[in-house]
Amino acid sequence: MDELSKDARRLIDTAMTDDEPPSPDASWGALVVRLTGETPQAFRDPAHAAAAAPKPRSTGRWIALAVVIAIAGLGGWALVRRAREESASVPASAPAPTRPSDRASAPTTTRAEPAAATPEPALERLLPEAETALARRDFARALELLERHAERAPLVDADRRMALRVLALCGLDRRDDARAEARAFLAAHPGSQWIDEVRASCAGP
Amino acid sequence: MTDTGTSAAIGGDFERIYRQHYGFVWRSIRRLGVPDSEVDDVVQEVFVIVHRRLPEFEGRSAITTWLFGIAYRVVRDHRRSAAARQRREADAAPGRLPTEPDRKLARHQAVDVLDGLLAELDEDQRTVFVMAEIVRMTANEIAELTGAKPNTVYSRLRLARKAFEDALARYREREGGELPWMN
Repeated sequence: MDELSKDARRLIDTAMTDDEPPSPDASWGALVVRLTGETPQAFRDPAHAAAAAPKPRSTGRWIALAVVIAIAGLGGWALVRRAREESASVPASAPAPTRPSDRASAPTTTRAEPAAATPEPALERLLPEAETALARRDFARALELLERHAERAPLVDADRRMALRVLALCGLDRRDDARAEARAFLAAHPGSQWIDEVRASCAGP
Repeated sequence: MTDTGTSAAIGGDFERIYRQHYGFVWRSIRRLGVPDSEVDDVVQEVFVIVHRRLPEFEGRSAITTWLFGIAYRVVRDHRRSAAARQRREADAAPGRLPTEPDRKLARHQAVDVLDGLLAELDEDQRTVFVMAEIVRMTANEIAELTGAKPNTVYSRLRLARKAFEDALARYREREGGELPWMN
C-alpha cells in the first residue's frame, strides 16, 4: 500500500488543521526562565538586561545586601548581625542598591550568608534540570546534577547522562576529562542517539 | 568546535523559530502519543535542546525535519522514564475513540479519531506513519533519524498505512459509516 485513501488523507488534514495548540506566548515565559533564570521582561528590557547580564543568579544576593546596608544605617552592629542571620529569608520586594558606591562601601562583615542549598530535584527531573543548567552555562551545577543522577540511578538513561557530562566538562574547559568521558561513552553506547552531540563537542574528533 | 553550543541567545533566531514552529512541535508530540497532561513539559524539553543546538543547525534539511528529529528523541527519552510511564497509564484520555459522533463537534472529533487510530498502531508503525504521512518526511530522512535501513522504512510504512486504513475501516463500521469531518 503506497498511498493513503482519500478518507484517511482528509481525516489527517482536517485533524492537523483543526488541532489548535495553545498560544506560544503562554509558555514562552516559563521557557525563558528555565533557560536564563530571568523573567522574559527583564531579559528583553535593555536596562534590566544590562544589570542582570553578568550573573543572573546574583539578584537575590544584592537584594539581601541592600537590606543589610539599610539596617546598618539605622541601627547598630547587633541589628546587622541579626540581619545576616535573616538574610536568607529577605522578601523579594526589598529595595535594590541604586549606586555602585553603595556596593563598594558595604562593610565586608555584612556580606549576606549564602542561600540555603537548593533542594535536590526528583530523580526524573535531574537530567532535564542538568539540561537547563547547561543551557544557562552553569556547567558546575549541571555536573553536580549529573553526579546525583549517577548515584541514584546508575543504569537509567546512562547514555544521555554521559553525553551531558561531556558537554558540562567541555563547558568547564576540562577537555581531557571530557575526552575520557567521551571515549567511555562511545565504547559503552555506540548506537546512542546522543553521539552527534558528543562528536560536536570539544571532545569530538 | 570548542564550545558546547549553549550560547544561543534568547530572542532573535531562537524566538522566531519558537513562535513559528511551536504549533508544529506541539502537534508532532501529540501525534507521537504523548498524553495531553505531559505535552507542555515535553514541548519545553524540545525547545531547551533547540536552544542549545541551534548553532549546529546548518540548514541541510528543512527546519521542521530538524525540529521533529529533536522532538522524536525527546519523546523516546520521555517514554523511558518509569515515572512518566506510570502517569501515562493513569491518563487514559489519549487513544479513546469517540462513540457518539456529533457534527457540531466534528472539528474536534477529527483530532480525537486520528489519535485513536494512531493508538491502534504499534510504536514502530506509529512513528514511521507520523513521520511520513503527517510530518511528510522522506524515507531517507526517516531512515537517518530512526537508524533503520530505507527498505525497512518502506516496509514499516506499508504495514503502518494498512494498519491505519484497517483501523479507520473498523471505526467507520462502528459508527455506521459516519465520517463527520467529511461534511
